[in-house]
Order: sequence, then structure tokens, then C-alpha cells
Amino acid sequence: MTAKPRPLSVLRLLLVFGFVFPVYWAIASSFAPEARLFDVPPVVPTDVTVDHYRALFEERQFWLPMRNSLVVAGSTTALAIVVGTLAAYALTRLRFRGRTLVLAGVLAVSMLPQVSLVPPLYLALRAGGLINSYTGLVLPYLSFALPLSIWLLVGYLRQLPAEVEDAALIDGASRLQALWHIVLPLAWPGVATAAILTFLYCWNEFLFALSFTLGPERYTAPVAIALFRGRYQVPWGEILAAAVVTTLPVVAVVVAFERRIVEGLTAGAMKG
Amino acid sequence: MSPAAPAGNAARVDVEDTRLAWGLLSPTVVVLALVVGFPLAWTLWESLHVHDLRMPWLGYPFAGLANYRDAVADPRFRAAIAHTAFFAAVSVSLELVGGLALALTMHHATRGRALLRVLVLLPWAIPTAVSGLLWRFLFDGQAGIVNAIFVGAHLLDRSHVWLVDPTMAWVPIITADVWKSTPFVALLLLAGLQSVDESLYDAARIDGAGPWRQFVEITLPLLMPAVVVAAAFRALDAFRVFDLIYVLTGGGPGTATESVSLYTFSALLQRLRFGYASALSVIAFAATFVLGLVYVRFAGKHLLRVDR
Amino acid sequence: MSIGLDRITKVFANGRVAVRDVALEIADGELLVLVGPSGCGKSTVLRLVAGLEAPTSGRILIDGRDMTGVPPHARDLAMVFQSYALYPHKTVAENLAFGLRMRAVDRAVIDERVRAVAAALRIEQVLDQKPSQLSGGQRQRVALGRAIVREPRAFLLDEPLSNLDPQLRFDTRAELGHLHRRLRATMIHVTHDQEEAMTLGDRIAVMRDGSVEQVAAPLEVYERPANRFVAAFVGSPSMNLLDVTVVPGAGGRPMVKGPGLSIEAPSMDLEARSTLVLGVRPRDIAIVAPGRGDALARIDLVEPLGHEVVVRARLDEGRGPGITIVVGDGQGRAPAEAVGLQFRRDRFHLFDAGSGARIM
Repeated sequence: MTAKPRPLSVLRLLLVFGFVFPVYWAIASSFAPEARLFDVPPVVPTDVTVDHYRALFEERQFWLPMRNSLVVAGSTTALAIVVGTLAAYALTRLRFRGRTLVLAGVLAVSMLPQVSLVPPLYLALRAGGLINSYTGLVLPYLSFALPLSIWLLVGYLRQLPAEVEDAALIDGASRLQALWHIVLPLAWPGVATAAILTFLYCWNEFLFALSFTLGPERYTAPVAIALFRGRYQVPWGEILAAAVVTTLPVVAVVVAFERRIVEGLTAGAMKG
Repeated sequence: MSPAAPAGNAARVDVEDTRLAWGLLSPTVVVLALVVGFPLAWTLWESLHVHDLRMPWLGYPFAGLANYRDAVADPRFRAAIAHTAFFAAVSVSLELVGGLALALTMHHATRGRALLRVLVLLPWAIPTAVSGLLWRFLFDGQAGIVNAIFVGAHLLDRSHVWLVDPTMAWVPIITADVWKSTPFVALLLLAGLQSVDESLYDAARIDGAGPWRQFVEITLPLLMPAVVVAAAFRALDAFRVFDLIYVLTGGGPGTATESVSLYTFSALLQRLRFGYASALSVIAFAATFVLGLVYVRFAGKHLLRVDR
Repeated sequence: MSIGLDRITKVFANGRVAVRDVALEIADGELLVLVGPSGCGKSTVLRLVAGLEAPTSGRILIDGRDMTGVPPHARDLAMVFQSYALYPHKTVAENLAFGLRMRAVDRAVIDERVRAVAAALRIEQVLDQKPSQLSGGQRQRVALGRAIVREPRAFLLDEPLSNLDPQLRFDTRAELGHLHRRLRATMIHVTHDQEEAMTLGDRIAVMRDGSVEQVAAPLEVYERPANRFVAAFVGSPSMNLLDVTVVPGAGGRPMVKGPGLSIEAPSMDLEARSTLVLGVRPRDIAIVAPGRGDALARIDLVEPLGHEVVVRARLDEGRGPGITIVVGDGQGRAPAEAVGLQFRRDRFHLFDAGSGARIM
């Protein structure tokens, strides 16, 4: 359609405003001095302070949960991608009995409610002394990170033309050689997308982190923020500051990779 | 040269493939068996026993389907199901409508598409728990800007304490979920919109159809598959909601906004009724499984298609 | 190397029978063309020979040895794909060298062979470029080069000319012919273009719906097609096929009769049957005065092509089926004109109406 309908432009403006305004408000409020927070601050803040940010890092040691989130999300993503790429290759390029079953199984695992896994995992982790540890989070995280990676990678590899691999096979490469020399170099955009999306999901995760960690040394960022306690009232200033800090890496990733993210989301979801 | 059995010999290429395939799949199978398979099996087993960590003197007696009977009769569980169904129905509907509107506006945008996508992706990318807190702040009884706006616009006569009211508490919860998930739906629908052949609209224009007719006769029908996929995805997620409600209301006031996941969690880690919580988990899992089957039934032909 | 297909059948997972009981023998050094309409199974046969697919039953023999279960990399065959399938992330030189590298050939030998092949195919100046920077014709030559450089025992070509534009296709066709004569290698060439098949092949195999309808030298397939499908497929414009009956005629000689058409049967031992199919090529018909010749027709359309003229007519004074004639000179023929058609006696065919098999 060449004519851009006027009402749509207005609608777009309203919608975008509606989605962005809360974020703006949170950021603006995080810079508002404590006293003003419990009034309604003006739309454009005149009084700015970094008190909340300072308190966040000096008093609450917020860099600890940030580090924890980074370690857990990073390790999980690395593992999920490596294991997932091998699995995705097998599922898309090799013919074997039970292939559909495995694909269905991976899909099924990605659909189950996380809360179902909490009781047994809790007991198992406790028995293994892994409560409140990095391993004790990475392993449960793989329960959703691995199927997610596999799903995204399968979607991507399916779009890669198989003829180039056939040429490699005829040229004398074994399956593994073809995988290493031809498929992996050509698939890295898809792998990158899968890694980004997996990382975001891990960074986001709340339930497992809440259930399997005990204190700030191992809390991830979302859990730490949710459990902030103030002396007299809810410490909104610090909570908002922490929210901004937690979201910054996410925003950076989204800005840098938005095209990949959108492709990964839509390809993975809209297969067909 | 003895004639080899055709099937056996011909299958050699496939046999090598098979061995390699299982080799490549083995780490996945091991990990998933470890963190999903055994735990689920354990949950099933556990749900058939009485196991209350606060009453260890009861031991670990086999209870058959007692936990399930209790669950079905449990008014709090039934309330949780009702809450979850209500939440899912309202959120998903709003997200579909909002997502469609957003997708349409983005589809017709001529400039700044990338910026649009980034801005719209932000709510989705922010950790759910964090966005929950954000909305709690926005709806706060004293400092919340929502109250300021409503009172200022004379829609309310005075500030409301949203999160304390059993019915009104749903407003921030649903608002937060719609805010976070509409962009995701919009992106899925946008991809669907972009795959519609432009020349169909031209043909319709020549045939005399105006913008509304074009939307109803061309866009909507061709977008249906994408809508179904988006709806199924969101329904599945909405059914499992935990983070938002935990952070916004903790299930309260009382248990007025408790979802199924939240109740299971509470039974588990707060009241330590492992056997019972396991039964709840199994029920939740079974329900999700059924929903999933429905989803696969509609969209699965595409998902599970294997090409070679 | 000789290649043999011993009663190969391939049924895919969805139940589709792609190849039905195919038996072929390709001699060492022969160029066999597999030709047929799309979906006839010719590409599948090629992939079976290559080892990219495994047959459901039957054997693949290479130099007499059963290679049915052997994976592609051990068969020492080279393949040129329709889409060329060049490695997009590697340079032309690396593309050419890949196969030799996989076989752990000495680096110096690789370099030398790559350079020699590149020179022979006139692609030396692009050795350092990536496939995306090349023209279609260049990519095609790189694909060929990748196959040649390995000095394989046989070449498999899957519609290598289909993606080229007509003039390039024409020239490259000749190059392929030269290549075959020079290398004296066994080649299986798959195409849907019957002209390519006729000009390139030592023998051609016409396929339809997974079966081989006829295997013979090109001229034999043209002049003595085994059934009506082959008759219609080979030759352009395609052979006219008309439903006729055989009736006893004057003087004991059976007559072949059709709409506006009556012709003496070429031999005596043609019993009266209810229906047959008469086949005659457009170039084997002459236009004569109405009332003379074997058939009466009315002209529908005259299409002058420059070097010859295509005349479309309808038999039985315009009431019957269409018939196509190609003549060297239109002789001022015009639509609606009634004409007589004379068939060359030694150049028409009769097929069984049911099976389509050739009778004479």
C-alpha cells in the first residue's frame, strides 16, 4: 500500500509512546532525590541525583548479583550452544529412525511449566550440595536453554541449502569434515542469533534463581532486586536504579543485534 | 560377486548416519534426561506419596491418588486455576489486538523501522521480574504516576491502592503482561504481514475494495496462521505465569491473584508439602501438555516437518 | 569406469516412488544422458549413483563392484550441481582444492592441478575471488573445475546448463562435448532439455515417472521411439499423434483411417484393431493440393520463423484434431485455406492405443 493512512501514523505514535513512556519514567525516577520520589516527580526532572546508584553499589553491593547473572547466563549459553549445535545438525541433516520423536521431545520439554521441575531439582541439588552455587543454577537453566537453542538452530539450519554439503560429501569429505569445514562456517549467523536469544532468556530467568539460591553472593540480578528490603519503606529509588543497571546490558544487546533477534524470534516461532 | 541382501547393504549409508546422529545427540539426551527426565519421573513418583517436610514423623507412605483427590477438591487450587484462566484469556486477547495494531502501524512505517523495532523490543527484553517491579512503582498508591494521571484526568476521585484490592490488583498485573508481551506478538504478526504478496492488495484496489475491505478480506485471512501461532505461544506462557505475579502481589491480597505456578511454589517452598506440590505440578504439566498438543495439532505440521 | 544400476527402486519416506525398477549399464568412457520431464526421477537416479541417497532395493555397481552401501566420499565420483553448490565462504582456488585436501593430497600437487584446471577453463584471473563475485558462466566453470581437478573415475552432471542463458547454454554445450572427448571419462548427464540430450549423448535414456522408457543412441530414439511418450518427448515441435483405426482396404491391403485421413498401411500384417495411434513428425509432412495426399485439412495459423515455417492446421476440413507441419517455405499459405497433406511413407509410426508401445 503506497498511501500511508493518517490514523495509522497517529496510532503508531500513541502505541510507541505507550511502550516507551514507562521505561523513560523509571529512568527519570531513578535519578530523582529520595524525598521527591514519594511525591509525583515532574515529567522532566529538574532535580537529579545519583544517590540511588551510589547506594546500590556501595551499600547493597549490587555488582555481586550482576556478576552472578553474567556468569550463569554466559556459562549456560556457551554450553547450550555447543551441545545444541551438534544436536541441531543431527536433527536436520542426518536421517535416522526416531528423528521426529526427538524433535517432538525437544518441543515438549520447552513447553512444560518450570515450576514442575522445582521440587525434584531442589532435592537433587541439595543432596549434591549444589544449592546456592553456579553449577546449581547452570544445570537447571539448561532445561530450558538447551531446547531453546536446539529449536532456534534447527529453524536456521533448515534454511541453509543442503546442496553445498552434498558437494562436500562428493568431494570426499566425511560427515564430520563437512560439518566442520562447510556447515559451521556458513551457520555462524544462526549460531550467533541463538546465542543472543539464549543469553537473554537466561538473564531474564527468575523462578529457578529464586528457588535454588540463598543469599546475595549467589542471587542473580532479578532475584536480588525483587528481594530488596528498605529500612522503613520500599526503597524505590534503589530498586529503579538497579532495574536500570540490570537492563543496560540487555538494551545494549538489543540495540546491537535487533535485526538478528527479530529474525530468530520469528523464524523459530513461525516455522512453515 | 555374491548378491548382497538389498535392504541390508543399501541401508549401510543410513546406518552410518544413524550412528553419527546418536553420537551427536548423546550430550543433549544426557543433559535433558538429567535435568528434565529424571526430575519429572521423580515428581510423578513423589505425587503418589505423602511427603510433608514439616511433619517428618509421617514418614513417606504411599498414598495412591490421594494427593490428586485433595488437589481437585482444594478450593485454593481451583481458585488458582480460575485466576490463571482469567489472566490468560484477558491478556492474550489484549495482546493479540494490541499486537495486530502495532504490527499494522509498523508495517506501514516508511522511516525509522529499525528504531521502531528497538523501541518496541525493549519491554520484551527487560527481565520479567524487573518489569513487574517497574509497574508496581507506576501503580503505587502514593508515588505512582498512574494514580496521578487518573486523578488528574478526573477518572478517579482519589488515589487508589491498586495492589491491595482483590479485583483491582489484576489491572497492574495484566497491564504489565500486556506491556511486556504485545511487542513479541507484534513481531510475529509483522513477519506474517510482510509475507503477504503486495500484488494482492493492488488487485483488490482495482476491484474496488477500500482499505477496510482489504484488511478484512485479504490481510486477516492470510494472517490467521500467524495469529494462531502467536495465540498458542502466548497462551502457553500465560498459563505458566509466575514472575510477574510474585513480584507484583505475591499472589495477594491473600490469595486473590494466585496463579497455578504460584500456588505450587508456595505449597513447595513455603509449606514444604512436597508430595502435594508434586501432584499440583503433574496436573499443571498435564494441562500444559494438552494445550501443547492442541498447539502442535494446529501449527505442528510446519514445526515437525523434516525435509530430507 | 563402468557404472551399472541393477534393478534400482527408490521409495521415499512419504511413500512417493521416485525410481521404479531401473536397470542401466553405462560403459567406460560413455556419456549417457538421462532425460525426461521434471519429476521423472532422473535427478534421484543421479543421487543414487553418487551415494547421496540409498536405494530401497537393487544395487549400484561401479566397475562391477557392488558399491550400494558405500558413502559418497569413497566412490571417487565427481558431481556438478544444477545450482553449482560452490562453497560461498571459500575462494575459487579453495573451492577447487577442497576435494583434494580432503583426500590429503600433497599441497604442491594440489596447487599445480588447480592452476592447470583453472587455465584450461579460463578462470585463472578469478582464483582469489569468492563465488558471489563471479558471473553465472564463471560459476558454472568453477563447478566444472571442481569436478575435473579431482580426476575422478566418472562425472555426474545434474542439469549443469539449466541456469545459463540460451546463447551461453549453446556454447557451453559444445565445451562439455569437447571435455568429454578429451577426458574420455564416463559421464552421466541429467537434463530436461531434449535438444541437449540429442546433441551430447552417446546414448540417451528417456525417463518417465521413475521408469526408463527407452535407452538407445540419439538417432535411434528419434527415428524409432519405443512408445508414444518417447516419440512425443524427443523432437521439437513434438510429433503429431492422432487416433486412428485399421480397416481392411481394397486389394487386401489394410488402411489406416482417421479424421479426414486415409493412408495405406506400410505392411500387410496389421490386423484390424479398434484404435491405434499414428505418429508423424511435423517435418515429415508435405503440403499439397487439397484432394491429393493422405489427409485433408484446413489451415489455422501460419508462423514464419525465418528459416522455416510452422503451419498449424485442423484435419477433416477444420472439424478434426490439430496437426502441426513444418515446411521450409510457406508458399503463400494462409489461414482458412484447405490443403492436402502428404506423409512420408518411411517416416510415420503406429503405436498401440492402450500401452503406447510401438507397433511399427
